[in-house]
Amino acid sequence: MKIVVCVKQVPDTEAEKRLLPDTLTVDRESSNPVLNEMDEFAIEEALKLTEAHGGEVVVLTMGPDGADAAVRKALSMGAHSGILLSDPALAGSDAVATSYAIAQALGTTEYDLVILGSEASDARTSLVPAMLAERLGLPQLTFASKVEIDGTSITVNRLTDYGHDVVQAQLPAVVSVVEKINEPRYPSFKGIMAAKKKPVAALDVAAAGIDAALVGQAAAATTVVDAAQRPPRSAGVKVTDEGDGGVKLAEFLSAQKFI
Amino acid sequence: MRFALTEEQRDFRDAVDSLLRDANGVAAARAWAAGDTKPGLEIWRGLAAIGVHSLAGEYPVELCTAMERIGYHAAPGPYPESLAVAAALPEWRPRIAAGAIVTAAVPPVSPYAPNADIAEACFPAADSQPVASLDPTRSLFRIAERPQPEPAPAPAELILDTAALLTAAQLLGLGRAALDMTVAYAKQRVQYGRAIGEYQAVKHRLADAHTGLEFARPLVFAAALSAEPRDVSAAKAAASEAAYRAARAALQLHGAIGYTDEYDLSVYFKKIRSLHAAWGGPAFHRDRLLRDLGEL
Repeated sequence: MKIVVCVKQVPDTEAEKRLLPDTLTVDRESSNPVLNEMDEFAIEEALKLTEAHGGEVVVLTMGPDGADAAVRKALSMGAHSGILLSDPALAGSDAVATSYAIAQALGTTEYDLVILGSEASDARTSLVPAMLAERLGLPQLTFASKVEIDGTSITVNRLTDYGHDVVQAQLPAVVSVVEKINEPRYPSFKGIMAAKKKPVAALDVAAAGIDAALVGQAAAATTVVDAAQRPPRSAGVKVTDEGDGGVKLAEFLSAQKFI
Repeated sequence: MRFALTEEQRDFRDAVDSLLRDANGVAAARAWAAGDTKPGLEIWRGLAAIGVHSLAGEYPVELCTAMERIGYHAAPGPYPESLAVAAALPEWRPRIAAGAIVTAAVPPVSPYAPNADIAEACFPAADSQPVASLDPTRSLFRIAERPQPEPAPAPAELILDTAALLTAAQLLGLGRAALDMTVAYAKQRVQYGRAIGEYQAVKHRLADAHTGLEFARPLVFAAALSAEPRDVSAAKAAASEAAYRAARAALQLHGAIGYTDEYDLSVYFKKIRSLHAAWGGPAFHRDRLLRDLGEL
């Protein structure tokens, strides 16, 4: 079984993120680039599946030149090879263009399963997995908290507000995972040393068969018009108990979907 | 010659750091001190699983970067001792790489074997009853007076030098953590209308602690590369003093809260003070260094 894991390099999750004032895109210089945390769960799940069923894990990323660090981290965790899709024409792509570019890059390889994290910690749209499945014409099994493969059939627990749905499909398929699914391994010394020798294929838009007019900031369907600093935290809601404090508290928690 | 760590060395250091951060080394140290070694042993096994314990004897630089992070997160357990035995006794390497805990002492320089109660082997054999220890995670056992049948005769000098080097690296991390806590506190604590970190006298103490640690680090890594006893002595003397200076600055600048056991500085302070003396204190190592240079 060949599994492609799509990963993204993002600004350090714990750092305060800023937008560049002129282009209103993320200021990638202001914080360390790291592998999107949620993608580590996708890599871990792919590794576990190939450990159980045999096969190999290919890690694919789209990003600027330095994004090979994200690929290397995945390789040091145990992925077998990498694909780095990088081209100035892709800068500023929105989710629609990203899903198109990734779908085209996936066309350069064979696979039985595509696994993604359910969201990136920078944009947090959770759109790419579903769009990618649509582009590839494959079943989408998103927000998976458990994945099981039996022959060519795949079953996942799809996390919902009320618990989970059990969703089944035939391979090949696109899966996105949530952080409840597993505990990602730490790269080992051996893994880090071995990662150096693993093959990473470099693709640009031409090699991936991407129409440059359909990607990048110019082609984005959405435009960021303005951005402002988040206002400081407000004081919150004070409930004065006049005999109905419990009810008001329950109403508040219910409105926030805590209960 | 390049002195900076390679990309792979940094990646490995980061992996060790993430594991210790996620596992909460300080909490494990507190549990260990209270008699529950389970979280600490889990960290021990986790670090062995990613290959830290397999580095002994072959990758001293990588091992020192790992020890620095182990210090930074105050993870409990006889790391320098186990890894020194692995470096000195190749026949023990596979078992230690797989996570076996061993400990050692080299009297008269380092007369107590730490954590001998949980160790599979102790070089040489130790008493079964501990003596009083400043660091409650580092119980101390006197070497048995009447030589017992020992596991194997161990090359004492190599154990001493390796354990001293790794303890120096651990002290760098411990001292840095104490300093980081103090810098954060100095920015937060307001007195006479200003954050205490704005006062010059406070800044000086912090800067002294910082430069001490930064000046000790190259000595530690030089000793890792050369493995010369005189370099190890320079590293251990400098790291012991730098970490202790950072700990004392931390204690004073924190004011009263620094003296409370509940605040995490207590875990660091006790560990630093006990490791300051372990595997030869600054006086021993300075003396050894001067003799080696022909000055004594």
